[in-house]
Amino acid sequence: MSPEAAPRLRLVPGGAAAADGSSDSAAEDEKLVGRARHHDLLAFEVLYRRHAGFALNLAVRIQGTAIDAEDIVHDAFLRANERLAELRDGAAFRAWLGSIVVRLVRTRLRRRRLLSSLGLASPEPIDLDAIASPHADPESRVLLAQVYSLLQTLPADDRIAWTLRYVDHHRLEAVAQLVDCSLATAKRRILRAQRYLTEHFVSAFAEGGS
Amino acid sequence: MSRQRLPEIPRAALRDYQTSEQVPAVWRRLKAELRAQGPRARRSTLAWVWAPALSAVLFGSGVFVGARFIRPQALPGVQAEPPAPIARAAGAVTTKNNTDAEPGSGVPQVKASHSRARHSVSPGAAASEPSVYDELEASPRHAAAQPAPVAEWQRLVESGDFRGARRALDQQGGFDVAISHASPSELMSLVDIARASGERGQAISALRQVLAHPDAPEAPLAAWTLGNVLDQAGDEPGAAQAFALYRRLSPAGDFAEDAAARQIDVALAAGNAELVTQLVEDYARDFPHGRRLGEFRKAEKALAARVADAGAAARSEAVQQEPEDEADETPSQQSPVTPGPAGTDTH
Repeated sequence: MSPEAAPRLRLVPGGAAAADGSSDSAAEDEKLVGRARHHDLLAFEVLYRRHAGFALNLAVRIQGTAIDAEDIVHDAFLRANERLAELRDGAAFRAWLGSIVVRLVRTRLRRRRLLSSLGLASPEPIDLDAIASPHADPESRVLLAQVYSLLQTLPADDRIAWTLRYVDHHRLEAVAQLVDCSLATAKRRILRAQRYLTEHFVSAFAEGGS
Repeated sequence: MSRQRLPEIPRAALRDYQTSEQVPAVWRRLKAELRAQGPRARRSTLAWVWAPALSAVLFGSGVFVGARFIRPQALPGVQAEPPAPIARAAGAVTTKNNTDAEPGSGVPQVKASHSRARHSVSPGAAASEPSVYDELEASPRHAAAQPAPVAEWQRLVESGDFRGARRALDQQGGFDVAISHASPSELMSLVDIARASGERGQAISALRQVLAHPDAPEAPLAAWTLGNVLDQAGDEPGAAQAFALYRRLSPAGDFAEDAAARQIDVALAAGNAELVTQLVEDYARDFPHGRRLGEFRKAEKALAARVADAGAAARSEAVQQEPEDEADETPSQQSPVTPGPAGTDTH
């Protein structure tokens, strides 16, 4: 195995992933992946049930809308099923699946941006209800609305890296693996996005304002 | 408003799709495709190499075989049929050897209407073409070779090829024609095709068509799916009705609890306190250990409090507004300097 290939197969689940992705869970994934490789549909269904919510969260949070999120998750699992043989460490299934979702979302964001720039499509509006919890307080909703509207203006790579780090709360190493780049590049992208957001962010509540 | 350091986005502020109804919905589609694909679907990186190579070899073989062995007589079988009156006018003879007829004995009009492939046929063959067509029309073997028009898209759906099914459907009269005479089971397949091709409107039409048969076994699933589709389309009242219909059609169904919860979500979003109270009571009765019961109880109380506050605020505003309104309506009866009781002349 080449040194470059090794980390791809041993992704570090961070933040939200770690919260419900304990080592027991990873071991369980490994068993399920082993069974699914032998065309056990039931095992794959269990894998799906365990990780579909994570994939949906990822797709919606990166896009800022639920449009096509179902299709992205569907395609991601289909692709994962087709390429299970390429996954050497079954315990890393969740993170590997995440990288597939990120790739699909990135392709969609780029296509959408290209079509918009050609005047063939209008930019997708941010769907706050898709991102924010129904129980989120007004401050959080305003924060999310403003952050996502700023993120929309960023290049797809910077936007994805920042969202994974600060919205989905992944560790830097996991972000790098999910977006398929080096740690340094991931840091650069996050920093670039962070600078832009800090520069343009305006707090609606800082002065007790409305 | 002021610029300041970007605050951290709290996790609790984000919607969680772990228990979303989209999860089972996506699995339904995925399962159908996985079953259709079977073990052969697993690809390795080698597939990217050998698949194009195999395609190229097959294509080359086809070209070689076609050029080397296929005789021109075989071509009319795949050509569009000429207008019947012309063929009849030619005095067609239904014999297999009619391609050996004498040059010049055919009808020129028929030759002019043929495709480019036809022009490669020898003059003798071109001259006798009307007879060939008549033979093809009369041949039962040819008739049997025609694929059943309706079965094609269904077969493709069953194999998980929704895009292919869509193309086949479009070639066979289109979606609207298909739903007009489809059974509930076929309609559900049409729904899958429509959803796979992003045609939400067509999916809704087909689902409503299924619900025209409330006794069909597909009806509950159609109601549930319709609720989801309408919800995605932003038609929340329509979605609530569909979920309510699902509960009526399948009170103990797999999605009964979720349907009840979705009804409450819609009522909460609309701020309809009375409806929320009623639906939460129903939910508590039908699902005493419901996953979202506690959440709904809290939301119900919060909504009731909000409604009460709004009512109180509206009443106090009305009380304050009343004298002003009266003053506006009777300006001539009151002094602008020393307002007194209504109808009192202070001068």
